[in-house]
Amino acid sequence: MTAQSRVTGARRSPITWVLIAAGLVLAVVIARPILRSLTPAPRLEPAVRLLAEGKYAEAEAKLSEILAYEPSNPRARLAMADVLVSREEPDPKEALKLLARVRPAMPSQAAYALVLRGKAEKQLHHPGKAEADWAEALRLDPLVGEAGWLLLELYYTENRVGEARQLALRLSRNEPNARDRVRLLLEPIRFDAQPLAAAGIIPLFKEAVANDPDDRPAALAYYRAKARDGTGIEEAVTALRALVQRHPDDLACWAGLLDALDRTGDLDGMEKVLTSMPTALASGSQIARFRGRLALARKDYAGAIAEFEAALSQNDSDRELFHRLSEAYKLAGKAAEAEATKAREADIEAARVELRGIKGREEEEGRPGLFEDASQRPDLGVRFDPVLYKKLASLRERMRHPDEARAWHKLVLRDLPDDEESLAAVARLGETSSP
Amino acid sequence: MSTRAASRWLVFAVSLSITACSPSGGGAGPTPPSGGTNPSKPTTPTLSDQPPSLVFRDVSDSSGIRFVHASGLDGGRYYPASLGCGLALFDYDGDGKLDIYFCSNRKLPLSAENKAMGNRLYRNLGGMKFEDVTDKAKVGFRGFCHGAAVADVNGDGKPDLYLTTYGSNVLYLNNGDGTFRDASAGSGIDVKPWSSGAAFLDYDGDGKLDLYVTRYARWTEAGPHKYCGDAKRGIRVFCSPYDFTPERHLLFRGNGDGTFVDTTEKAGVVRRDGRGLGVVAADINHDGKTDLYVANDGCPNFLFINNGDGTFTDATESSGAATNGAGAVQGSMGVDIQDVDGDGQPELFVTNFRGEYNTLYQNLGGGNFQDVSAQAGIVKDSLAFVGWGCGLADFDNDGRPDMLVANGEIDDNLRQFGQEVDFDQPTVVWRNMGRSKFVRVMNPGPFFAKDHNARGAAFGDLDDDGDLDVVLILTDGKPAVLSNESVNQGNWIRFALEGSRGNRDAIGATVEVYAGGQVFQRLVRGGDSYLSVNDRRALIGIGTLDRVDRVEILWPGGRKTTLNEPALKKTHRVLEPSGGDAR
Repeated sequence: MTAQSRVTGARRSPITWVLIAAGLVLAVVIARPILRSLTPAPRLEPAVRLLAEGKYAEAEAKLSEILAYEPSNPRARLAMADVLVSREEPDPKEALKLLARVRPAMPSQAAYALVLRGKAEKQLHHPGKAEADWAEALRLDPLVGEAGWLLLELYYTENRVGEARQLALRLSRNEPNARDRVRLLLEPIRFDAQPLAAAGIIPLFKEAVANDPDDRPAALAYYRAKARDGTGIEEAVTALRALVQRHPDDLACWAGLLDALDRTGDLDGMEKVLTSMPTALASGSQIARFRGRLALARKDYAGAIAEFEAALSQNDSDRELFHRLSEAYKLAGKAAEAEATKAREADIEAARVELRGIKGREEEEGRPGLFEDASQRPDLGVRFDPVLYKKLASLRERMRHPDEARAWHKLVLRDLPDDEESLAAVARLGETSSP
Repeated sequence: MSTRAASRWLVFAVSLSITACSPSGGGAGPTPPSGGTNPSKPTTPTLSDQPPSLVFRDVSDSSGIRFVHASGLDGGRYYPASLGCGLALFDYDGDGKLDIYFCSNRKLPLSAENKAMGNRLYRNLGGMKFEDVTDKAKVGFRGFCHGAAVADVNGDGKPDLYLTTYGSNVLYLNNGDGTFRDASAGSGIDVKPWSSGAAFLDYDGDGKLDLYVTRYARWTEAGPHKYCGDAKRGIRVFCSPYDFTPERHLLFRGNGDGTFVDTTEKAGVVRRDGRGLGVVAADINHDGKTDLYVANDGCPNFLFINNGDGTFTDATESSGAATNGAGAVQGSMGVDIQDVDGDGQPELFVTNFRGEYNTLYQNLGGGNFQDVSAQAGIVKDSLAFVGWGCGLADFDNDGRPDMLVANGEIDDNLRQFGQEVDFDQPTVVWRNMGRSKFVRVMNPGPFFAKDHNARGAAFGDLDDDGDLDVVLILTDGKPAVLSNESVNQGNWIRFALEGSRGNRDAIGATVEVYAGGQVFQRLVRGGDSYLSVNDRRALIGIGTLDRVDRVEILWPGGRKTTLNEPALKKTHRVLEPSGGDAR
């Protein structure tokens, strides 16, 4: 049926209507870019500023406008992904979708994308993927914001103190921001000053382990904590045994299993594991502590002494090793050696206490430890504080971390190149091949 | 590196540090959900495949005991309310039967309305029946009481009662007619403001009982009180012990008349680094002098060895019993001492907080102790629990002291933080299998099939049938009175020692029974378990042996008594010889 023309009264055909519609669409298509070119493009900078200020809802609104205007804007996509992982109720899945469509124009942009992707993965309880992303981000751009801090956070929760130390020292050396240069050196100290309780570690990794049982660092952190906490001993030991079976060449897995058995008092279990380990791994100094533990329990004091000394030869910062060695000496009738070893243990512990603080000591009531004190100083790193740096250097040296002590003294020498104390300390502590 | 990133790192660090200071042993703070198997379920090995040899029957309902404990636990989370209290088993009226004195806490601050029934004394009528004689005896203390200690402090032959409190400690002197009088004022031991445990002993050998008082921390109800927990959600938990400055403990020398003088410094036992709870006074090194071992929460456990000249040697750091075997201090609460391996040297035992196993220290002689908890097999079944009252008690009279630990959390709301930790926890019994090995006993009675929140525990033969019964303080509830009905019990012999020179309770004595080529040793102790008092009679099981060759008693002060072939299944009253050794 055709419509009638108002003028002529004649009816229009369907083809006419199709042509009219097509014309209208064409007009819009032609007019839109013309109109857009006449309209100012929404600017990214205000959105980025809002993002930096933590005003995520407002940032998201502005970024939505920008992406509606220019859907393939990579910077806008990155910023939107940042909003999605940073806001109070993050949406990591949506962030990953956005990031998958980003084509970085330069290494710094690629690094930023990896940082955000890692955050999303972490929020989805894939810490292993997150770690890989952040490590790659650092490789692409050693100065990329946050990647180093995020890795350090992860290492802290997984108790990977050696890796944290290496990374913190490396980043601090190259860090242009004075405040961060100092804060990075505080990171390894956090392990001693604020150790995580087992009950606090367990919930951090429960889902991660369920998602990927072969994320070894996460699994080790989780199951070791469950064993120490006592709330899931059988589950933990079973899982750690399975981990070792899947990764028989991974020393960390064997050490994790032995640690869980030790902490839960399963000496027979420890003995069986030690005899079933690959010889090359079992004879190592990292396992010596467990052999020593068994020997001490079996009252083989000479054997315990030998094993603990071997363990300390590779890790002379471990207070527990000193304690057990001291006990072994004492029980073996070697009083002088016991006293000397106990004194070394006491010195490490005293230094740790200074860092951690003792809220309860009568004469020190209300005084925080040096770590907390330093961490909370608003001008840390901004105001040159050689007294603090030297104090921290001294404490770390007493705790048998010469690389950290050296780094603190080098901070002093950065502003006071002729400082005799720090010069002497650096000379005494020597340089190592560690980064 | 962006400041934004750094500030967020700091927030994370702080939140993690709060998590690290969780009530589980390092501090306080919320944590998201965690999974885990039910720690009440046993871990291997157990004796569940065999009919249990250690069996207890809860006779609370039929006992006549109507005491109800009041913890003072409320939203305010005043710290003393987390610690609970103990009880005392002693024969207050001299009729030969063990009576029971229950301590109770109450709501804080002390100015708040007090609805708690307070401390109660129950007289033993025999047959596991008791009657409330509190009002008649005038010992119905209604303040905030933690623990009890019992001894004849004025040498009149009647046991007196000392209470540790938040407030002022109390000394009740026994009038001998079923009543007590409050002799706190002027005693010198009305310690303020907050004490936890106490143990009587004669440390200087003058025949007059002295007193050691443990104190926890410098805390008052006036505050300020740190908020621990999640303030946003209004969920409060008890703070960590590390939030409190330890308060030094005290040693008092008795004058023999109910008055005492502070000799802490003179005796060489001043230490300012102990949050004290349980304490035991006993002859730890078999030299006839009474020593002291103190369980401290989050601090080294003190060991003071008596020099015999009015002073002690602080052997804490050298003993091996100050920390666990890894050198870590633990949250120690309850304490006991007894020879568990039959070598004539008593072991030390402490109960500890969750995430820390209860620790058994083997006595190696020469003042040396070694943490043998793993070898003993008690680690797995104690790691998940908060341990309080405890006893190394030979329940089946096989000659080997068994082990019982009363457990219970301090917070009832940890599941709101996602922690799979319940307020009620199992009371755990282990049987001593010999060679210092213990095996958890599953199902030693219906009481043990349910979880409870317990604190004090006291051990004694309530029905005089020759075995050790158990009484537990249950938080905000009626106590558990557990009658020992273990099967296949061995032969036994019992000694009620009486000192002749003032220390009538013979605190510090050692009894050794020689039979079948073995030696069975029991110590007479001041201070027991957790803030509690046990039956001071030395009940010694000898298993299937049917004859005792001889008994040697080493009295505090060094005198000895030898008894030849004393009769079994009998209580022997033994008086300390007044001059020289007695045979």
